[in-house]
Amino acid sequence: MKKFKIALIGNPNCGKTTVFNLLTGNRSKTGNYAGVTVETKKGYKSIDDARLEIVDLPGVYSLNAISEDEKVARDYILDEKIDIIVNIIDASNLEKSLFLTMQLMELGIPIVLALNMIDIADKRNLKIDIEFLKNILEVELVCIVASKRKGMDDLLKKVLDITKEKIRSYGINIKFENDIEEEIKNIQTLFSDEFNLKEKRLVAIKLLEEDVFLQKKLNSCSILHKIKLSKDKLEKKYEEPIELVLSKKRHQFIKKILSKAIIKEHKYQKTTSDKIDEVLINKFFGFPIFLIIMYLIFQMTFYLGSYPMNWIEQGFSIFSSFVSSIWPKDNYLILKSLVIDGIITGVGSVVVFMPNIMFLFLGISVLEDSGYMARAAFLLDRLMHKIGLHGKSFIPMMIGFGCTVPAIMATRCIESKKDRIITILSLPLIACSAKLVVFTLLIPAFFERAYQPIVLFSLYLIGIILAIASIKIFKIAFFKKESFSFLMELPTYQMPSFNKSMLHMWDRSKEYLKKAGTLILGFSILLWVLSYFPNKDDISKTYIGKIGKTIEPVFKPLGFDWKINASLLGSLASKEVFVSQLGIIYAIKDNKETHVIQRRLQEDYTPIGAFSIMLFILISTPCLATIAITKKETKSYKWALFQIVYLTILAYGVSFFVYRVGLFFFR
Amino acid sequence: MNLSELKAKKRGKILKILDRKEVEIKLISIGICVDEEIMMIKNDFSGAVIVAIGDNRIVLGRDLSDKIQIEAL
Repeated sequence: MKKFKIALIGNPNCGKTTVFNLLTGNRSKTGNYAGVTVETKKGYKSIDDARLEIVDLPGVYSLNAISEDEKVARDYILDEKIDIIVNIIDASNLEKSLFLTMQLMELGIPIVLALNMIDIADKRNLKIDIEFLKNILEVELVCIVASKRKGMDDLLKKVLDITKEKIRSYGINIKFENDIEEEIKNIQTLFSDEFNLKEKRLVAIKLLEEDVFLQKKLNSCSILHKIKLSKDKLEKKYEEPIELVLSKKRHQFIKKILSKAIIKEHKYQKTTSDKIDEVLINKFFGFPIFLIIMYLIFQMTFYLGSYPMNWIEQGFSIFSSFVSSIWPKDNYLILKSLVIDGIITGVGSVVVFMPNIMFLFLGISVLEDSGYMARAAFLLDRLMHKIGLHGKSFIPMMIGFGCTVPAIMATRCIESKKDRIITILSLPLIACSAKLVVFTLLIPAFFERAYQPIVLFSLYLIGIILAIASIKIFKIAFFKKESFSFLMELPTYQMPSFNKSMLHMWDRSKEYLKKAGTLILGFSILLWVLSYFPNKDDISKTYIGKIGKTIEPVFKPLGFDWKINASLLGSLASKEVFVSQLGIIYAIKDNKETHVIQRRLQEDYTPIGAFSIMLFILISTPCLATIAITKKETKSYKWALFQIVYLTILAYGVSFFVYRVGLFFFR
Repeated sequence: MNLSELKAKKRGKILKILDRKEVEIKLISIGICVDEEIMMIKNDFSGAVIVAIGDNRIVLGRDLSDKIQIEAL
């Protein structure tokens, strides 16, 4: 069986992920704003003796690699040996889409264009002369409607025909001005035979455009110097950077083609989205509506979430008594403790928060799918500007309420590297759903029902304020480079589909469950061992107790005792482990089956002490996954390390201050 | 005049973009190029603006819209 590598590429929001799911039978989540596919995803399909490896690349507007998601796509295309490119094109937006297409056709890789959303173009009275387009671009072209599963067979057939070499489809190359073409030819002669002819042209053009990736790969000072001379010569003549000259030429070329290919060009008309926007991003109502939507999402998360939470809690308690009742009397007592106190209690106390997390992710996915998220970024731009960032940094922050890890990945659409690092560093201060797990345990235990929402809200607010303050400090302290202005496409509003939202929610919640089943299970067992040996009857004499006691003097000023210290150790793996660890400590301490941690906590701590604990959880060192993703995304240990140290010091300072001031007032 | 001065529902033609080349290339790749006709959809005279190019709606930060020179149509 022959193997072929197929790359799916297109503008953000062109339906690429939908096509990927249809082709591979995968169920990846799609969104309605730029940056949903931030990583390359792979899927497979076997058909007619060929095995296709299909790769879904992040949505990009060009191969000029300005933002990180563009770099991911560009590096992949240039580095991997791709057999066929499938370029998904938004038919209702040809001018913009073809800019990328022109660059792709310079690559010398077989390419098929899939004209998606042809139904929307029809609705807008946009008649495209497909045959003309196909002939002038010298490329295979298929019309599809991915959302209605139309045209997929045609697309696959074209791809297969290319693999069987029945058809050739490389597309045309733009002829630039004569003097530019001459310089391109001159540069081509500099290369040895490591590239074929078409590659030589591409590499020459890319190097004229100062492509850092290829500059590194070529690694020859003499050639690069000669290219620089060519570039200088051209720039002197055109009086602007050659990258711009080429980009403008591509744009003009597309305009020229489209003036003939689009039969009936339509004029501006007010779309439904425009009408909705008149209300939703209205100068006066926009912001209040945004606040109401946020309030509703959080209300849904907690209010609706509380019912299934009770069921799960009862379920685990029944299960735990059941295991206990069938356990052979006085046999394997260590194992019994491991299963009941370690595993069931540990995992159970984390799984119980699953409904909250599902509702929160449901809310976020509805915002994404509907297209409102981009509007929120627009609305928040003014505010974000005041802290030195812009609207695009808002989307990661919003996702950060769910989980910091995808939030950090969502920063890839921010063009300015500096703004991106600042956003990444401050993201852990946004209270994620794992921290929420800790809050939902402690708040009801220490605060009267009427005050509970205020306490919770204040924690979220403190996180946000600290994030803003940190951004301000980072801006002044570290970065003085130029930034990149706010530039974002507004997607058309879509009715979020029930299935899609559910799938989306499940995709993300699954990660949480997976974490409960792996990382948290492992840590529960490790922590159980530390809390069982060498003396299980007195937890203060176990290993974990000893560690907690050793560091007690450090944390005493914040109001933490050794039990909290021991649980904080667990929270290094993941914040919600704090809860399961407390569960283990109290369950073992009692040697009874009472899992009502909350009541026990009330005996040991005061409300102000509990608040100090929650602040520490909110601010201190992020979880392992966040540290790992920070390292990966900033490509440096330095920022990951900085994040750990900075946040821990900040957490200590804030908890200390609040606890001490609190003691002064409330004692 | 600058794009930021264009009132909502008014049209303009782009004359010059006075920003770094990276920004200008990004603008071209999204459809905003010299000689293109552009229409202002939303301009509250503070904060970002929204413009239309064909059926596309694009948000531009105010600082960016200050750097795009246009001729009102």
